[in-house]
Amino acid sequence: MQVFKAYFKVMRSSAASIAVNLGVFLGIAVLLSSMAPETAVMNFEPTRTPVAVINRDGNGQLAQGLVDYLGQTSRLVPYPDDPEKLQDALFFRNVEYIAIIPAGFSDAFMSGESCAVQKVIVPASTSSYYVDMSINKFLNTVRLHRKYSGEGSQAELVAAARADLAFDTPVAMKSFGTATGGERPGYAYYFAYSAYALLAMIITGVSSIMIAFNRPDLYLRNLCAPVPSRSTSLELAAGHGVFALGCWAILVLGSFVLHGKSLVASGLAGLYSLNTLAFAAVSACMGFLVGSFVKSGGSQAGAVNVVTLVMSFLGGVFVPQSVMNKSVLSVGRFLPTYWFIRANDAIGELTGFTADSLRPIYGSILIQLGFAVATFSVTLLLSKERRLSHL
Amino acid sequence: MLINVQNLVKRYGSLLALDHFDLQVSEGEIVGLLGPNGSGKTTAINCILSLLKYDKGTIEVFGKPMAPDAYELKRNIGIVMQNVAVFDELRVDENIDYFCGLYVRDPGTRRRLVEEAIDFVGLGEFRKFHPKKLSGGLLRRLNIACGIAHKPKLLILDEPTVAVDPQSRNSILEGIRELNREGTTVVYTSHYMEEVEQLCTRIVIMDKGKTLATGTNGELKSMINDGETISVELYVLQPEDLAQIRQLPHVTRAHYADNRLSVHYDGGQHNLLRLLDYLKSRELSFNRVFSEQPTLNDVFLEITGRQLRD
Amino acid sequence: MFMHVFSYRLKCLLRDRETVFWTLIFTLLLATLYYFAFGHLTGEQERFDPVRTAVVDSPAYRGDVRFQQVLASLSEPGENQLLELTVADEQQAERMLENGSVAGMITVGESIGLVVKQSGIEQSILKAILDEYAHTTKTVVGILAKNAGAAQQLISELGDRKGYTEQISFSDAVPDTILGFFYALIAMACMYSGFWGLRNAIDVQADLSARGARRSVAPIHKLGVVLADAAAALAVSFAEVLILIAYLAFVLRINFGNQIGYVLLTCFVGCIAGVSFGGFIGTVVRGNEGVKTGILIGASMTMSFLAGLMWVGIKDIIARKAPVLSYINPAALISDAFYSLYIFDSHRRFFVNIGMLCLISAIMCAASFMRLRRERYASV
Repeated sequence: MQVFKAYFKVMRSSAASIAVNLGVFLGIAVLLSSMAPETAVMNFEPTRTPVAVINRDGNGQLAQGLVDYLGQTSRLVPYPDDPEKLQDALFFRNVEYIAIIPAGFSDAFMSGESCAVQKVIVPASTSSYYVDMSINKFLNTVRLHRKYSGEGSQAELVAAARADLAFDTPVAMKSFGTATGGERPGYAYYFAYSAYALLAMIITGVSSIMIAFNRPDLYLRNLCAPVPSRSTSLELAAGHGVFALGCWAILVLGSFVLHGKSLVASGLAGLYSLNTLAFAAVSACMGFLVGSFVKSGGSQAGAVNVVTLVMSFLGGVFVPQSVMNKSVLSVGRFLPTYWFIRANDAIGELTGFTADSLRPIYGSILIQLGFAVATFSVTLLLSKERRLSHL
Repeated sequence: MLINVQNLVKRYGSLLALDHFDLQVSEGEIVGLLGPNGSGKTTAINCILSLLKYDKGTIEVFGKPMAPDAYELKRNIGIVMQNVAVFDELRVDENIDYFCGLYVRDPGTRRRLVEEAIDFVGLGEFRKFHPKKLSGGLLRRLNIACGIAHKPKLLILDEPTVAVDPQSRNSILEGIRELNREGTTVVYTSHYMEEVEQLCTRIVIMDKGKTLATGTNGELKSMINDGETISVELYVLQPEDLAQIRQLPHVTRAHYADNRLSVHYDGGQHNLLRLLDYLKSRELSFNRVFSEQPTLNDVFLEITGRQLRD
Repeated sequence: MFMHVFSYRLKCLLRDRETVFWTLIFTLLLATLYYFAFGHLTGEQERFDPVRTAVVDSPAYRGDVRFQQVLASLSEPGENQLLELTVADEQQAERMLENGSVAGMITVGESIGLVVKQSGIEQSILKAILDEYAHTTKTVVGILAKNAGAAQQLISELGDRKGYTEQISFSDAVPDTILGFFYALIAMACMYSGFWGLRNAIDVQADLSARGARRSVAPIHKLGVVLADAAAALAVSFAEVLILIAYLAFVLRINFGNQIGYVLLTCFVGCIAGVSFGGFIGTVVRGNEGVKTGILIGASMTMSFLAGLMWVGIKDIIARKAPVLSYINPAALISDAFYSLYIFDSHRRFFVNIGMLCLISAIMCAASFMRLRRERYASV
């Protein structure tokens, strides 16, 4: 038991960096959960694209009518008529569409001259099509009324068009048993990002211990002690296991604190916990790998960062797999993070607990465990050879 | 007078590190600053080098006031710091060249000086090594080489032999004597009295920031009222014999404990012969016999009532 | 003397493998990861693809020829294709909706309706199409009620809807948000030059390192040593940032516009700011080397975060909600300088950024020199 007892005393030296990782993760998780909708939306809400309208046709009633209509179909964000500010707004996606109604637009339109609303958009983006549709629909309707109804004033035409455009197609939301209504729930993000936190914390902790116990003099002294080296290894392994379990427990506890109600309601807590538990095992084995090949604290920090960031980015922890480049993802398949996220996404999209829908989730979890076993055995093999050659 | 320090006072908060400290060093001397850890040796050195602010006193080096920008004075001072001050990224020869280059501009001269310094400390076969690959003793030698490469007139060494193996230590001490023979004045701080005894032409004993005594090795020892001490291992000694021994000439004290008789003298000659004669006459069988001369530790003990080493 | 100190300083810094790792290798790695993760984000996420839709086959649908025509014309392959239509029976359509192979299913009964699984832009477009059909019908009915004679002409004109929008742009630049990540990354690389500045500060102060003490007793002017060290640090960090820029521009093909001179100027000023920042922390902040390193890492990461390193939007939020913060944050200034170069034709905002960077660097240098100027130390 001596080794096991020493384990957590040695761990104290890396407690600070583990705590920082945990703190940063929980901070971000709190931030995200405050932004994500907690209750699932069960009614259809049409997307309202953020639009900046610059109306340079100040007196035109038609122009004003268009602005009003856009205010109904999209979300108008007030911006001054300043190209620099507008470019900022578009670059940072505070608006996705800038509509500029040129001076004299209403009069030109009324006299049948060709005229257009100028738009600045992210080229070929979906949201720009959507806003285009609103503008074209409004103006085409006005055009038809002007041409065929003979109604004269701009105000009358706008009123007629608005009356025509008042109808709303009924939209039914069909639920297929998910509690989420398709919106990715907050806890799905929480568990996805927890991959990064688990990796960073567990690799740091496990490798610190390994480095401490593998220092040549200490290693030799342990060998000389009247304790079989196998029991030393076993006690260390038990320490790693308890530590990884602890990290996992803290993160699962965090998920209940932040998302408890919706998580329980979804009935998915068990699956999420199982998936993260498998990933904690992977992380512990990665820590074992890093700890076997890194000797000093300086290179440890580097190795932990490189391993954690590479695995997180390429596996789809930070950027959802659905929007990642296909060829990058095919490389990502060789990382356990990929399978963790796959399982995580599949759990979030689960529509019922049938064997068919659960199979891919258990499959991904098993693959993670496979990664853990493979990493562990390869490390064991390589480090044994290395150690024998050193002594 | 190469160094003239008068009435130097330095406080760290409420701690008085130097208490009206005086130090005079003349050309050609090897002056040893001897004192236990925390006695103010390094503080005194750092004040002399203008690294530290001090509260009171005057410091002159080469007859001129020492100041941080007294570059002409600094040019002739060599310093070997207590902590190894080298760049881990530079090799042995590069480190020496770097520090030498802060003193000597001419590249040709510098190349020669660097080679001489490497030879001097015997790091020839390690010249392409990085400091991290050197053992403790070799690292100290490099530290010294960096301080002496520019052939200073005044060399200050602050505990240069801490954590050094005996072999390296002897070569370091011999090197310092060599430099001194070539005309370098040396100030040497240490808490190893043996080193100071062997090396220094004059010794300054300090404690609690004050100079307690100064003089040559012999002068210091003659200050105290102690001659040799003779110890004899013997298994039986009757109290009346002990009393008789106390009556022998020049004996100041004598006691018997743990099968060991210790007899202190205040001078005189043939003390050992006389003692052994007495033991034989009483037919007391004895094993080993030791005779010890007084050490600087005894001097320190006599002055402060404490051991030099804790 | 300057060259002696400078050249050896250069050697020292270049051989400091750990710092080279963080200031160069780590930034290159992050750039690569950003590229892999975000490289195609804008394209794939925002580009419009026709909306996959199912329409339920029913007698009412088969009876509504005009609606069929409209759907068919919207599904015509080509640039203006809005729909990818599948006609299916109700069960089949529901299954497609459930497994996500269509975004919505259209039902035609007494009126036309839409069934979806979730809210989103595709579903909104579907609804807009159906709305439009209903609206047009209403318009036509309304007009015909008043002007029955117009029927023939009106019907023919319906197929000839006019486009009333005209795309313009303020500049040639595509507003690609992903660039913001890379600009923030360069800003982080510049701020990491602070590690060199911090090393310098530690190696020059007698109370922080034995090396500093040793150099303090040498017969050389301190300012000379500081300047030579700083020049070496600047050279190393500028070279590193140039490598990063070259990697981004030539390997990852990140667009910096074509004003290479201004790009280099930004890197150079950014490195000055980074080195000064490290020097500032090394001299003005109290504490040992570990504390100073920790503060440097924390501060530079916070600055880079606020400049958009992890989430591009934060930079704009800060710029609008707390503009002062974005004017005193060197990382934000650096990334905004790159951004301004890329997106604006005028250089006004670019030079405001560069000017602020210079000012901040000057203040930090001045403060560092004030601290270094003290000639003797209170303790060593």
